[in-house]
Amino acid sequence: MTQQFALVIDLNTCVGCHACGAICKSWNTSGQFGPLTDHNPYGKDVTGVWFNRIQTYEVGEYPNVEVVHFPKSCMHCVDAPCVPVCPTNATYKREEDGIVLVNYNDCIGCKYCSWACPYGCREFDHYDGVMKKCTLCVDRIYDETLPEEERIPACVLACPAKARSFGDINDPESDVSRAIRDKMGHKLMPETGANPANHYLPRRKTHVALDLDQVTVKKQKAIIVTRKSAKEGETLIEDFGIGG
Amino acid sequence: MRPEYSLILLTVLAGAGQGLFLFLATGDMAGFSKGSRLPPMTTLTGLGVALALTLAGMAASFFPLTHKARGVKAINKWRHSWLSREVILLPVFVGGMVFYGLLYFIGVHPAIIQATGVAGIFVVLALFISTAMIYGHLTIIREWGTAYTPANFTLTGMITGWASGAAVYQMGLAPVGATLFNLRLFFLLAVAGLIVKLLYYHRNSRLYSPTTIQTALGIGHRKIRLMDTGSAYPTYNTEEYHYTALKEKRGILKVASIILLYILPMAGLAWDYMALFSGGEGCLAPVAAISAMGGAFIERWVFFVEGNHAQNLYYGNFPVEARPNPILQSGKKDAPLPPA
Repeated sequence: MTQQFALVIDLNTCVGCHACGAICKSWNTSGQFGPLTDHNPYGKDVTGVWFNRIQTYEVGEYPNVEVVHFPKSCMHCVDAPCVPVCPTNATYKREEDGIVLVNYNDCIGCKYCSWACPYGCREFDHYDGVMKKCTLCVDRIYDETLPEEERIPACVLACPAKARSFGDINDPESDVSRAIRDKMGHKLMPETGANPANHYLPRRKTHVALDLDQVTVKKQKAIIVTRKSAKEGETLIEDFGIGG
Repeated sequence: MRPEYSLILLTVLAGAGQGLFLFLATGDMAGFSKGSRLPPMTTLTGLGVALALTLAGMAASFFPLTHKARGVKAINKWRHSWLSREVILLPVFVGGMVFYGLLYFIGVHPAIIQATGVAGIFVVLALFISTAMIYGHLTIIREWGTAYTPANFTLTGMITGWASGAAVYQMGLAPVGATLFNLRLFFLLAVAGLIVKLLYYHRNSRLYSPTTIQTALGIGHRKIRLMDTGSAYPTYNTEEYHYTALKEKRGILKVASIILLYILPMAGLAWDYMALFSGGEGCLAPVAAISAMGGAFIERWVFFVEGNHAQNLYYGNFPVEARPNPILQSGKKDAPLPPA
């Protein structure tokens, strides 16, 4: 079985900081695939190409409500609906790693692929006149000049909450496959038949089932921390005490 | 969906050109079978009009392409892409029409002309299907992904073509037999087109989508509300897939398109039919042709703007209130729907 690289996004951890979107724009606009152009970037109606957009949803009804931040980029579908519709073969799915890419030299700008994509993850660049989309940082993950731990998509590297992970979902022993199995990862819009590679890990609540009789609460003493940076003779005390 | 005016022009104008070719080819055969050959100039004029319509449609679709020089590459994926098939069949149709006209002009044996005409009819039908299936196979746009789409595109193209052809025949003084035959076909086509259109609107009025915000996010809760689209200004996702202009007046536009495309041409050509039948001359065919073309433009515009792409769910632009899922709703008539 060939590789199928994908992102696994943990909705339980995502804090909605938009760092993945910002670093994606930053890396890709200066990367091998040319700029992600902005129109009127400092003006009023600013618009431009982004590979990664984050929406925020409210789930439930007050007071039982949760806020879910939802980053969404190309799903690199196994049966990508955008690939067969492209008349020029500009959109293709790589056999070796399952990444869906656009050959900008072949794209005629008919936008048909963006209509076929159920997720709205393709964006037309009016300046270049071609369709653009997430490349899964194909120019990073194979770049041997980068340290090995940095050969992952920029969004995964940037996520401060470690909500994003990257790997081969066809390898049952990979971290992402384990996460999908263990944390009940799911796909988006399974009924469309696109069979997306990217997975989302749902919100989880962990309740420890303990009988209060079995628990002994130990009173802790205050912990006093003295900073090394404090000047001689001066004592900086921070109290992390629990219960005094 | 945002209406792409180049595509509206292509589908209506090239559709009328194809329909006109069908009219001329069948009219020619009807004329032969009745032993009264059409004046060659009538058919040649008609072919010229069909060629002009098709080329105008092709030009309209070609100019908005951002990389026109690469257009020739669009024949690459004919095995998979309906758009690629359309790109191949359009020049075949234009070339075939020119060839058919040349045969007519030279005046070869009628059997050869008829055989070419039959081949042309097959090309035209394949082209109708290819054009329509570009939209018809996109099942994530539920309004488009139906067999009504190719049926509607084919019948609309034939109705506009037939009405234009009737006008050409009237001005070219074609034999009454051939004209009457084609007018009878027109009434059949118009009634079939009207029935398909009404069934299509009926289907879309009670359409529900298996894709909901719940499946789009993978969150099973009934109450999900969009708080932030992640962008302060419109994006490609909110502009390309969502179009709100004339939202209140689309019902009136539908009625107008039905009147202009089906009712008025039928009335006008019925008047002409009666006049021809009683030995007089018709005069309303050009009016019918113009009315049908106008109706087809409105109909195609409504078709494009009524498409709701599944990705609109992520941006709160999907008309949830118009699409109750009957499975969710069964037995709970008053259950509140999730907010749009």
